[in-house]
Amino acid sequence: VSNLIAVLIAGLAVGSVYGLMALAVNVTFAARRVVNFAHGDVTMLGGLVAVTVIVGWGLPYFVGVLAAIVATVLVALAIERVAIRPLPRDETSIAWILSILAVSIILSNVSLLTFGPEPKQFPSLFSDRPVKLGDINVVPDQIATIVAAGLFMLLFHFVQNRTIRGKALKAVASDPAMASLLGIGVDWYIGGAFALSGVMATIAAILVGPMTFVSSQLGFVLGIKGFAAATLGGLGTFRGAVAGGVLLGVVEALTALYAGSSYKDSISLVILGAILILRPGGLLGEVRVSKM
Amino acid sequence: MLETKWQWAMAVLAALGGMATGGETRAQELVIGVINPFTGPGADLGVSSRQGLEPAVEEINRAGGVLGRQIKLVFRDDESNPQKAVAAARELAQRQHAVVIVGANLTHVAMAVSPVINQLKLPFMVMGTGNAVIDPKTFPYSFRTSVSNDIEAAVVVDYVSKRFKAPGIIVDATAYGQSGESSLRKHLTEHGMKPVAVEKFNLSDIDMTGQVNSLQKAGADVMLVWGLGGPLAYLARSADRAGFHVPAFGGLGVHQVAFPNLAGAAGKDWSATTYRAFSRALRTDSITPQERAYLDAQKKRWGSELGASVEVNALWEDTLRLLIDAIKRANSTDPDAIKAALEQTSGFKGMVSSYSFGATKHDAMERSAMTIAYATGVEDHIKTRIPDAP
Repeated sequence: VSNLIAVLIAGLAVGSVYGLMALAVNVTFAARRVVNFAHGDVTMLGGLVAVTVIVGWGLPYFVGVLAAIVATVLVALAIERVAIRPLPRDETSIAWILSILAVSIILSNVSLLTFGPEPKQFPSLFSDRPVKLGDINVVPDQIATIVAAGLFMLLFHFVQNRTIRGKALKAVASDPAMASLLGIGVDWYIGGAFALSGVMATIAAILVGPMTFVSSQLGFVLGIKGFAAATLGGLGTFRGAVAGGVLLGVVEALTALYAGSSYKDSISLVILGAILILRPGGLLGEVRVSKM
Repeated sequence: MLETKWQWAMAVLAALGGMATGGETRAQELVIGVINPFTGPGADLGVSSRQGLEPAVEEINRAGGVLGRQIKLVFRDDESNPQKAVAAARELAQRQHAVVIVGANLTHVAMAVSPVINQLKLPFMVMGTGNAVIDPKTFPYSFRTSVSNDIEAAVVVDYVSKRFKAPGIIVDATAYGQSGESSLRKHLTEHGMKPVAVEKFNLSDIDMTGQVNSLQKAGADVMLVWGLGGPLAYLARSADRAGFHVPAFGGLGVHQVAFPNLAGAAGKDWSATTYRAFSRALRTDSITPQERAYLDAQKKRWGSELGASVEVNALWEDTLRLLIDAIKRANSTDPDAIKAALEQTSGFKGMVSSYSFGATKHDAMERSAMTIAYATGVEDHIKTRIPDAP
């Protein structure tokens, strides 16, 4: 049983990071109705900037985090301005997919050239040494990650449903032209949403960094998992994003423990597929019906 | 006189062609193509090939080269990516007119590039350690001076079987990990043992707690691991976090520089096969005067850039000298003549091993050249052997 609990906690921690990635994918989706496939690479960039400033240059932790936030916010804003805004995004246009994927490849290659190929060890948040609670090994960093993801989900849920700005963002997403007519500064809301996704990228990076290592290859993995979690939970719902992430992380960890690690990814994908067949809008999402 | 449009067009094309071929090799140079990772998870292996080959080629060229021709090394970065390696092989053969190709340190890259180089009928000194990389029937032009996974697993299992009862296997899900797994299983069976659990991890796994707990649950008292340095360091830390403290034994991948850098204290009970050359017994400096001289020369040449695994640099020099010896004996750069000469190589003495090939034996490394050393015990480029190491 202690094995099972340790694995569950680890799965929850990884799932929380997937959930944070999915939250950010959701925020930009809410603003622009596009899936930011490059978000994993923005996260990777945040991690590399932070680790370079903290470990490489020996500056204090918060300076590294601030530098990373500046970098990820600027890059997220640039992605919206350069790769998304100029392209048509009606239902038949897929040019934005290509341009975001191009950004993802460019970010990963530029990071490889700038920060080098070696994976880097990220400083621990509190402690990555296990603490014994009875029979169970608990890692403080894992608990911190779970708590942070939970808090963010609550914050976003509150902002989206209970504040005027959250409701305005919803309006921008569903009909930008009408929102603009009603006096909502559409560009400001869209910029704000991408800037926020940049901040969240750095937060995800400092949470996932101590669990794994940070390298230019991390972006692809995180991007895919974040997208999977967002789809699983239901694009457009913040609670769904975190639920999808946590479910994905826990299922991966449990299949590794019980079914054998060779099948881990296949089983996770089968479960993902099954849920989407049963609930096409995702776990907590709604199916959007277009009316002519 | 250029009187027609057609002639003008031909002249322009010829001029462009001349520019395009400006980078090509002059006929009198003997080109050795090197395909290896200089970026990606195998980057330190590429650096070793450059650091081992360049000084040796300069020395050979100063002494007059081979068959009266100067040797030219042409390096291509495969980025640890099989497709890039395949493209590089074609370019080296067709554009650079390489006489032989060496490299492919990563097994999954070696598996992709071997069929192409063999179709091109170029002698190929392959460095990947996966078992399937060498097979004289399938790949008649491939030869290997580095160790095979099979020898490594034999050395590891021989040591482990005398000291542990319940080995658990955990390997990466690439061709390299699979090759290690099948060799480990084979040698465990030969010692009348069975793994208590077999786990795999993907290079993209963010968490390995599930796998580690499976091994723990199965009661493993030792981990047999196969993979690259970076992901294995991550495994070591996952095991440490899960409170699963058993010794781990693996192959050369454990000694990649990423492991000691990233595993830290979590890697202190990890050891792996390595070449006996440039290793010493616990707390003694027992490397030979020849090894000391080579290490000093490498330090002088490369300074702070010198990689941690200087024995791999030495293996590259051995490989080059063996190859040059074969080309001299063949007295030709004809691929089949070089292949025949390589197959007649017998007892060639190098720094890392003594090497012998045969018509059906394209693996030259001797088992006696291998030992087991601590993964984090590298001091001044010299690895420390574990107590009672072979």
